Amino acid sequence: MNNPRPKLSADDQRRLADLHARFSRLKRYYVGYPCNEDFDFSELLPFFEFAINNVGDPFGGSNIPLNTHDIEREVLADFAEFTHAPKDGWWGYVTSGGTEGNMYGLYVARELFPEGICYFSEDTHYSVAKVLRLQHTRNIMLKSQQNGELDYTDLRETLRIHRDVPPIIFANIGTTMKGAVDNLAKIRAVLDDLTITNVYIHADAALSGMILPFVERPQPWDFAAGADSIAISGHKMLGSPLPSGVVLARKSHVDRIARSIEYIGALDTTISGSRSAIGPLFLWYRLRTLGREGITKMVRGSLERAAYAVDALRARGIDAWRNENSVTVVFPRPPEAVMKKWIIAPKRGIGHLITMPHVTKDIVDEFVADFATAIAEEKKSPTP
Amino acid sequence: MKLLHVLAPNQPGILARIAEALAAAGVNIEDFDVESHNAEGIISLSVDKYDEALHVLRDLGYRAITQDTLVIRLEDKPGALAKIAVRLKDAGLDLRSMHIVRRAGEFSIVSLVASDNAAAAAVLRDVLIGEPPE
Repeated sequence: MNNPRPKLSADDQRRLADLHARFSRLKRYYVGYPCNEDFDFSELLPFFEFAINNVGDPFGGSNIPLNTHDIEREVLADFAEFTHAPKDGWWGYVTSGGTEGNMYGLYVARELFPEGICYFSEDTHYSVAKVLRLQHTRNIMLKSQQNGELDYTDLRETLRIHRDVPPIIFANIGTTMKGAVDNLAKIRAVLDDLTITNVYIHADAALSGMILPFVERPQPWDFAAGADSIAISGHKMLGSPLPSGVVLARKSHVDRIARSIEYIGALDTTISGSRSAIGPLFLWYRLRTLGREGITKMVRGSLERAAYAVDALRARGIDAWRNENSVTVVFPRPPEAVMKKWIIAPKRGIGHLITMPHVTKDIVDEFVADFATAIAEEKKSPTP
Repeated sequence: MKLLHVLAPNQPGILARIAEALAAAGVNIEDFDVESHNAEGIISLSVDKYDEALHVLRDLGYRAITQDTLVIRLEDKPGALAKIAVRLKDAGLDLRSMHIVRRAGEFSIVSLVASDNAAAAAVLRDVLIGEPPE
């Protein structure tokens, strides 16, 4: 017989209700972070009554039968298709989010090239520097162009001097602030020109990894363009209440590092021990309910609203722009009044609006009107 | 005494604001130096309470660089960082990391960590910002 269910006090119930009300109020104004809020997972609620766990390799066996490894493998197969992974030549797992995926890619790279130097642009997310420090990987930051894309001239000049050391290129497929894509074809061209063959390329495709497979003319970014591993977030374009992600790598690389870790008595190369079994289930649910057609429609809708937002801001005299195939609309740092109401993430002199699926035209219009009003107010009474 | 560098906009009153906040937290400034690079300033401070100073600066919203890291100023040209790496390599020093902290017009402010920071500071004396570590 089950034990009686413990109950919250009246005070704590009120607290939960207040928290829910707060989130509901803020949802409309959550426009500066790349998280899709447009989802409904209520059909999956019954699975919250189980302590399920995806510990270990999703392609290996598990001692815990309460897992979703089969679902996870289906999710991975979909992402392998999106990223043009070599047939039967890839491996991966569902991660806790983008950072774990990047950590995994850099871990594989470091295992393959222990003396390698990691190169990444100044527009790279700060978590990458943390991972490199954690893994004791030597690293050099490269310059970015004005649009946030890697400066290929700086890459060439830097690699020329370090030709004897295998480069580990950390490519941004959609930078955090500007949505810029480091073009893998251009990176490969630099490497070929310098006759560098021992190289590893990891693609951080947190947001754009779920955009570029669904546009007509994507920049070269995936396995077909020469990536050795790719990390994509699950909670960003697809949407999920829990952070999650996917990492995929060339199987030949993973097999090599799996052999090198045999001494620990396990061939599991995933970074975590216990892994979420709910995360893969959420991703699978979104992939199955939307289908490729639904995802394409969702992504193209977001891109159209990004173009709409640029036009609307520019029409009000605000110098907005965006990169090709990006839903990140960049503009000068807005006045404080705008940031009091809207949840955006300014950095140095710029801010951005990210037209995720929940950011409707209606919301864009309200944001643009607030921005224009705040600028007009500032002009009337400039801050000292 | 320990040294730290603070990146701040090159605006009047910034140093006074920092000094006031540090004094309020009981941190003594023994020595300071200010270098301007277009719109950016780098304030080098010697303080008696290092961790407290770092907390104060973080709370003020400034980026502070600790003395475990060398700070250099370079021309903003392709391959400029790579040339620094070569100078260290030629001196038998191992470069652990090199990050662009700020690009300020014609110059870049760069932080780096080498296998021996004191030796690296001697090699890079011409581009070093602040005093070399002891």
